Amino acid sequence: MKNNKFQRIRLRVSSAGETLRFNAVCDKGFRNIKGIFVSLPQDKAIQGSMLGFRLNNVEVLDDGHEVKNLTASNGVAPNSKFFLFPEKIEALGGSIEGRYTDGSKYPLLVDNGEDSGVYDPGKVDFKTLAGYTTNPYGVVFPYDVIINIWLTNEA
Amino acid sequence: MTKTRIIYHPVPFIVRQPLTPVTINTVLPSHIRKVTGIKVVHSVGVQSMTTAAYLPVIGYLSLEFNNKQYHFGHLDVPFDNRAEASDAYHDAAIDIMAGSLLTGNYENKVFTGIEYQKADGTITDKWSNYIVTIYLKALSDD
Amino acid sequence: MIQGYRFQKVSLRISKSGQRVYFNAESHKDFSMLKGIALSVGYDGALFGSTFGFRVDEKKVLDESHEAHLLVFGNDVSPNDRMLFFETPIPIHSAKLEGIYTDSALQSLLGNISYSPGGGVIAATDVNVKKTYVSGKDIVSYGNAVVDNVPVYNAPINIGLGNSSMTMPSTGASPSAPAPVYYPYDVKITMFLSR
Repeated sequence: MKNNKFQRIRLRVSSAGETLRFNAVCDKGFRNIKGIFVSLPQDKAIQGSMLGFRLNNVEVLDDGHEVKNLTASNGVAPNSKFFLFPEKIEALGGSIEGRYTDGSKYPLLVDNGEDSGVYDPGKVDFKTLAGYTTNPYGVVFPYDVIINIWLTNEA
Repeated sequence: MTKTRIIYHPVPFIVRQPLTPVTINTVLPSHIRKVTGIKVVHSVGVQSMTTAAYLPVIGYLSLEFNNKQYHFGHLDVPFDNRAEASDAYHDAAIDIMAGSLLTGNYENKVFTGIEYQKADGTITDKWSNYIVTIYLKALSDD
Repeated sequence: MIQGYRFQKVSLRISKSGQRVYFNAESHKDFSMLKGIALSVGYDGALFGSTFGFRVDEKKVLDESHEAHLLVFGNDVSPNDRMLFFETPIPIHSAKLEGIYTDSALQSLLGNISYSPGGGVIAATDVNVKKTYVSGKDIVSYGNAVVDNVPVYNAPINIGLGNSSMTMPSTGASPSAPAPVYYPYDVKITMFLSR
């Protein structure tokens, strides 16, 4: 029996600012989730993109978590590319519910009457904002996001 | 023992001429008890005199703590305009006397030619003032 | 049930060159330690010269002149190293967290001629505007944020607004073109809490 497995979840993003919800079940036979690494085919797509997920209804990463902190360039050794969770997260065939949001709309959010200061991303209706569909970084759609989840039996 | 907590104390200084050393002479806040790390970075200015994103040394800094009683040594100050940060600090363990002086000298080593400062001492428009910041990672008892 | 850690986040929007944005928030009640902090900024070009001050329960952790670029970590370090970790975690119990972000704060000091000809240490009062931790008459209120109304520049530099890039007409050199700053841009503050 292997002690480690990299479970992959693949998502296809087809337009700027798209939010995708996904569900998955952790492979049975592995006790813990050790880490996560998100791989994107275009560097330009990293900025502003967000990924959150819950495991068995417990939040592991909130929906506003930045993908940039879950990925790494090729300058980083493969074993160090994963974000390792600060504590053991029990997997045991648990169900994952996640949400990925493309970030290519990110910098062009313009004046909706609240153009500066602290804002609550949950309360801003991005779709009503001018510039929402503009794609400043030239991200090419569709692109695929691969979420690698590191499952382990190690203590 | 007094309860201490971590604090980051920046000491920014401005360099206005290529050839004149900058004297650093400032009183550290009295709540700073101990310095545990030091980092010196270029803040702004040099990027308008060079097309490079990185220069290993733009100047030398010597630093003394506790009213010149503790000589920390000389540090090379690099210019790095790349968007990469690091939380690395030079390790230190310097107990700070309350209300003591942080002193030192900074010598600029770049853009020192005649096209930046004329023989009569005036600065040309090729020169840009720049700011270097000394970051002290410290324990505070405030 | 919750995990034993949490990344508490605050998002800010900076819409003008030189703008200061203040926030306050309460640390999540279920967590007792603040272990680290990191920023992410919409544009690399906005990093240099911008500052971020941070206080916990009205005790200063990061001075207002702390440079934002020291808190922004790139893609070339391991994801677990992308934070300023406090060697001594800061105790929090529904603590008051306050931050103040100032766009291009240090550029505005470059033209200051009140120092000796060679230069010198910049006085804390030149960098820190004390009023910014409290609501003052020069600051417009914005929900739980306060934002400076008008940026003031004394420096002989011109930081472009809108879609123009930063330019430094005071220098005759051909500067490396810094990454352009577009406004508005967003700053995200991530605070690493643990139980």
